[in-house]
Amino acid sequence: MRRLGIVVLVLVVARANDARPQEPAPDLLGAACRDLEGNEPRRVYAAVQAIAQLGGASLPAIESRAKEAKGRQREYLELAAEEIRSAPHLPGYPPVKRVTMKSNDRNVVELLADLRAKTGTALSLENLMDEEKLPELPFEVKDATMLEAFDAICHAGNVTVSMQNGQFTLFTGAYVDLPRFFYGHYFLRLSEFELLKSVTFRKPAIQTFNVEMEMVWDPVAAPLRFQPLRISEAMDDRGKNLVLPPAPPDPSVKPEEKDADPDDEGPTMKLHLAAPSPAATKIVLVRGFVPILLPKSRVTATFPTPTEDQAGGVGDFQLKVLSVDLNQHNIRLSITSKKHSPEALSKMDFLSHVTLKDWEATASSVDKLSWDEQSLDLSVTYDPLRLKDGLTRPADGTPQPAVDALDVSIVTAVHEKRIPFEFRDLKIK
Amino acid sequence: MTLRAAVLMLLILAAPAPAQDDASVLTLLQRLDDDSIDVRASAATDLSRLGKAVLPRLRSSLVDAGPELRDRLGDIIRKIQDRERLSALLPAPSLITLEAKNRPLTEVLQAFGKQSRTPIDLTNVPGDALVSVSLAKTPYWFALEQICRASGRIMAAPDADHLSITAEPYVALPQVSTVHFHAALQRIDLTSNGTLGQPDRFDHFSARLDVCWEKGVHPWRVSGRIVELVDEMGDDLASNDSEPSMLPVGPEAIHLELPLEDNHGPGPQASRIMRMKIEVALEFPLRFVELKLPVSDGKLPPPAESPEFTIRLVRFDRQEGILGASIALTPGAGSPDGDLVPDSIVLRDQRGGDHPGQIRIDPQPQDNDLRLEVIFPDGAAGPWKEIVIRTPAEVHREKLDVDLKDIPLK
Repeated sequence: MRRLGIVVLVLVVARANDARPQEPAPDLLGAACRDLEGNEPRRVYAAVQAIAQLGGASLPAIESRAKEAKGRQREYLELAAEEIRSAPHLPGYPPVKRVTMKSNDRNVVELLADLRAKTGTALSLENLMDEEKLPELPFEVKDATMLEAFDAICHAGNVTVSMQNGQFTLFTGAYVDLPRFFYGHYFLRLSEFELLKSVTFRKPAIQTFNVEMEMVWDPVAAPLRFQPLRISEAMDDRGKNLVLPPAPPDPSVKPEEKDADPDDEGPTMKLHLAAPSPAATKIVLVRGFVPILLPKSRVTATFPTPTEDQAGGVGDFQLKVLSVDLNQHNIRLSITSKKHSPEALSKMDFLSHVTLKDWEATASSVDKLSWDEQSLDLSVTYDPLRLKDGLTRPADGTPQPAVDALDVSIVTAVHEKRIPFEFRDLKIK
Repeated sequence: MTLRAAVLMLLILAAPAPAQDDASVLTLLQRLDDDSIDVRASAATDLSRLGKAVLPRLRSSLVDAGPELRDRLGDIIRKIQDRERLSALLPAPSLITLEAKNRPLTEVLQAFGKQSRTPIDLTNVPGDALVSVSLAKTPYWFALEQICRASGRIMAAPDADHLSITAEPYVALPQVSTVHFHAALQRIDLTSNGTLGQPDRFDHFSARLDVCWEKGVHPWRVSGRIVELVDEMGDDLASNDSEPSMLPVGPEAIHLELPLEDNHGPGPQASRIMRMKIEVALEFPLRFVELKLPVSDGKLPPPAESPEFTIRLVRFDRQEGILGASIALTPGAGSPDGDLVPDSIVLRDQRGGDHPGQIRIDPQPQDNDLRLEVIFPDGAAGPWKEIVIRTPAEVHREKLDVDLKDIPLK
């Protein structure tokens, strides 16, 4: 699809009926189930989402079909049923928006600005503004999710996207056409792999095969945390099963004391696989799930025009503003609770929203700094973005925007959601 | 036989047989100019083994030698001189004599340990293991290997400042021993990396070589680099494109684990390496330069000078609770042969205790000066007497060629 460096990408996504039926719709379910049997991941997972959109009334029929099904199809039906059962537990979880875009005379910044206008996604374009003359791109997407359209624009405009502090960061150039998998508000991409053989002469040589996988998400559905990923199926082109058997539990380590493997949990994780056959040239299939934790319930304390020493509270939680640094776009707070010790607070999740005077806060995140016997210290950072004047942050040396309001939410319960991934035909030689 | 006649006979017997020796040296010198590389290499080895006794003859041969032969003779002379210098520098190697037939392994290793300066931990030696071994003035590392092999149930490995025996099936590691040193390959990692969706693939080779010596043989720094890495197809993959970094050796250490890296490798599918040649260099200080900056009166002292360098104390105080110093170092005419290592700068207290400093060299030299920022993490108490900078002014570099063949990768 690449011609003269310009990419025209047409996304055709099988889409379910927008209207959620109140009654089971066996014909729709049957049609979607037929799609589950295919080998084209985009079509398969669009079918999963279509089944999930059938809603609670269809749940018995879906569960019944899941019981009768086997292997992959059964897992897909269970995933769809899980999505339906999850919906009441995720009241603030936004629906996936779809966009259609067509243009022949807009550059990458204009396309991204258009995407922002259509979806409301926070995109900071300041890294792309230095380019003197950006080429106009023939571009078209149909019925694509925000992330599918976003990635297609980045591909067409040779822009790299990465995630920093849960927000998109864009860089000019170096777009790498990595294997990608889209699922609703999330997409996963594979990047580097390493095949390693370790020889110690004392024991048989050990071979490992690791593939790096990164999750990118729409900030409106940001995960609070990640759980260890699970690989359901992996096979090379010689038919070798690459799924490693689960490691035997270490009796000397209690489950609660077991440290999380940073390779397994986080936006950048590693797929640990068995080494492919010596003659293998590609991985024909690798699929599995990344469980993420999303906020199920929260309480929010609001600080109108936050200033130093300002106190606020919600429920049992007492918060106090320690400092407001407009130049560094940073607000520090302390939080105490009669019911929860500072150590217990340090294990909770926090969310923030910053409203700026005459500006729009495109991004804000909360870091847990430290805790002592009395309180836990939090740091809220935000990233101002003005829409009217060229989609860029205020320049250095200019007055920084004042903070109109700060919302700090304490997540009181979480809900686990499984994000599937499936990749096919990955060349390793 | 009269006493006089007997003494004369003894003198004759004890005297060297110059004619025969001359003949063999002459033969070796002729072979050193042979057309065959193997013959020349063998003659060079034999000549260098003859030691310092043959030096006058080699030097006289230089006079009439052609350019190539002169180079070869020069190499042999240098090797003999280096070895002589090293033997003067190092304590005599332990030579082990042991005769054991079906004796408890612990007892044999105890007898082995008594004949060396190096402490040995026998805690993990299997109590029921027996061994038979016969050693007569066998150099330490060869003797140790023979005992382990004969037992079949233990492996020996240096652990910081002592030798540790572990109960595990004996495996012959790819290794080389000399009278003074031992080098064993502990691990090889073969990796193949790439980015999915991109065509490029990169094979990388890394290994760990444990270089060991007896207690009392204390190199100052050690380095190693791969000079040859031949795969199953006979291709030499060694890139030889980087200078190895010299790694400092702890004061009591009897070994150093050298990381060896090469940006080319045979890949994880390889089943053996046909040849791996590693050049190990061990540095032994011959002479130190030592300068002192008195700090007892709380004032900045005058600079201290040596032919190699001058040092000036710019700051000696506590910042954010950490005691530190800033020292300007101006190189002199005869720059030192060695670099600064972690224990090169110490803070001496008035009781004579030394507190080693952690050195950070400012990457931006000021004029001709190097600025050394030093912190003394354990310098909590005082009172202080002086800051001492001690670094080798002249070092002997001993080369150890580790030539390993047919290394299995299974």
